[in-house]
Amino acid sequence: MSVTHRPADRRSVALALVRRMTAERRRLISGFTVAAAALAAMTAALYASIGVDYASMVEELPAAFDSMLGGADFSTAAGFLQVELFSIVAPGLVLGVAIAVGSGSLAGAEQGGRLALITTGPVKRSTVTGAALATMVVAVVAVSMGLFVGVEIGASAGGVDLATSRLAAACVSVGLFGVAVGAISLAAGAFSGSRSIALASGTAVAVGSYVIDAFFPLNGVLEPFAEVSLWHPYAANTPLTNGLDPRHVAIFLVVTAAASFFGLWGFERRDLVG
Amino acid sequence: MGYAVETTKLTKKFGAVTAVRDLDLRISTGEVFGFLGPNGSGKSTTIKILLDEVRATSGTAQLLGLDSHDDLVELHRRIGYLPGELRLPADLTGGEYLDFLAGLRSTSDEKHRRELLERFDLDPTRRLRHLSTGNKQKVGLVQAFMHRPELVLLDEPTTGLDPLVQHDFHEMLRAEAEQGMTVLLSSHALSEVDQVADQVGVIRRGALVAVERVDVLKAQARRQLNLEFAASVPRGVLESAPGVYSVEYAEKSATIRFEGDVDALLRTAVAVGHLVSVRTPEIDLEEVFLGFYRDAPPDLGQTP
Repeated sequence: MSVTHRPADRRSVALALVRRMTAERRRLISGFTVAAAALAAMTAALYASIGVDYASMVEELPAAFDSMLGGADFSTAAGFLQVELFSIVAPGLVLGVAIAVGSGSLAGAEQGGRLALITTGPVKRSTVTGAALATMVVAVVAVSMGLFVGVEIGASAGGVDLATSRLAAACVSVGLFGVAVGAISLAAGAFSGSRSIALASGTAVAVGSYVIDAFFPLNGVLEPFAEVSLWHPYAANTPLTNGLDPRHVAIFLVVTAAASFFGLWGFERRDLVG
Repeated sequence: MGYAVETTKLTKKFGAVTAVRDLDLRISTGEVFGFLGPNGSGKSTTIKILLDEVRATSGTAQLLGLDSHDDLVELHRRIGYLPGELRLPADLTGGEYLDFLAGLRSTSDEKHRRELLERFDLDPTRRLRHLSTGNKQKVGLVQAFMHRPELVLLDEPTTGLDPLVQHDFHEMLRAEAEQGMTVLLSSHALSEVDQVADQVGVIRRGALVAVERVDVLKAQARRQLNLEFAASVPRGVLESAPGVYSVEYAEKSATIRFEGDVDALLRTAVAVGHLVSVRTPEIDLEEVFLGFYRDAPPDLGQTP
């Protein structure tokens, strides 16, 4: 009676899951990507028209703002883009999509009952978790590429001279940061089965680490603790000027690996709710 | 013939609440097993343990001779499942979703899938978001059977289906069972189990309280007798007959529920007055089922 079953091909199953999970969030991902590209293009084009005037204005700002802006040099395109795009806007967009997809692709789908026919199929839970992680990475890569393409278009239109390799480094840096935070959000969802907890965890890490990195240096007692923030390895370097810092890359990769491990373990060990 | 499902002392606790307790379940290959119980009795939890969605606190479960946890991938390729609450992706058509699930299972039997779609009169080109509840349930049924599983676990499978489709589905179940498929049919629709099941397991607050063939279970039921008399019936006499535990009177008739031998009851009835007619309504499983619940000891708490 039964049909002949081909041996399971875990990679093709994982790819099918990533395609499905990505398709379910295609509006969200494309919306963030278009927004990133548009904001990046406008920011790059803006430098061509007001860059020098802006630099002299920013010099008058108090030290607190200087700390938040990372002490960037506004007289160059790299410094301007670092402050106007890559300090808040770009990580905001990348972390936003990472948290939304990280929390939705596993915990959200489970809570919504859409995983039931997947996890009761011939699919290991680790494959499902891995596919959800990969979907989050796809979303982050899409938004990071949107930033890259947007800046390239804006810079070309405004005649701004910017090294493509440095721009790529900045986009990789913000992407790695996003993947690390997205993996934390996904792991929280994998542990709990709750999208709310996943969202709250990712958001708390993103906002909390920003606050620590931006404001702790203003207080002599708290200043040494600023480096525990996940925002620190992102903001401490300016890839647009200096390229990627291998130590910071390593931090993000270690955090991503640790969060992924706990996510895989957390999803494997518990009862599913969907 | 071996067991397609075999559990030993299967227990699941959610904190202080025991959802499934010491469940010893054996379902023979090729059998349609009706798993009966009201909402919250532990049916769905048991099925989820069998599918490794929920992990047992203690005990073991073997399906098709394989361990429900250790041999999950191999086992799930040979199993079909319909969840009690089916959620489908709104952005796909029925056909696209079935393709996706077939891809996960690495199986392809296009001909059989087409037969199922035709049988359930389901248009695979329509978006799932546009389907009615019944048609969504049909998609769930097609995906559960399309890879010709050896064992299907169906949790309330006829929810939302119209009576004609239900009838067709029951016929299909019987035909598949005759071909060797094993079916675990969880339901609180007693008439459904009555029609298709070979054997029935009744679960009450997480514990299996009875496993019997349907005909044996019916024989155990408190039966009912409708007696019609020529004149009004004097009260209190019929109750004295052996085995009678309730009598409902109308003007010239009495409905009697009783256990055991009918002979003494009929002799008493004849003595009461001129007996015009005797009717014995067909026993259904509902009587049996409700009997199990009426007799439930009060100290057992309801489980989620």
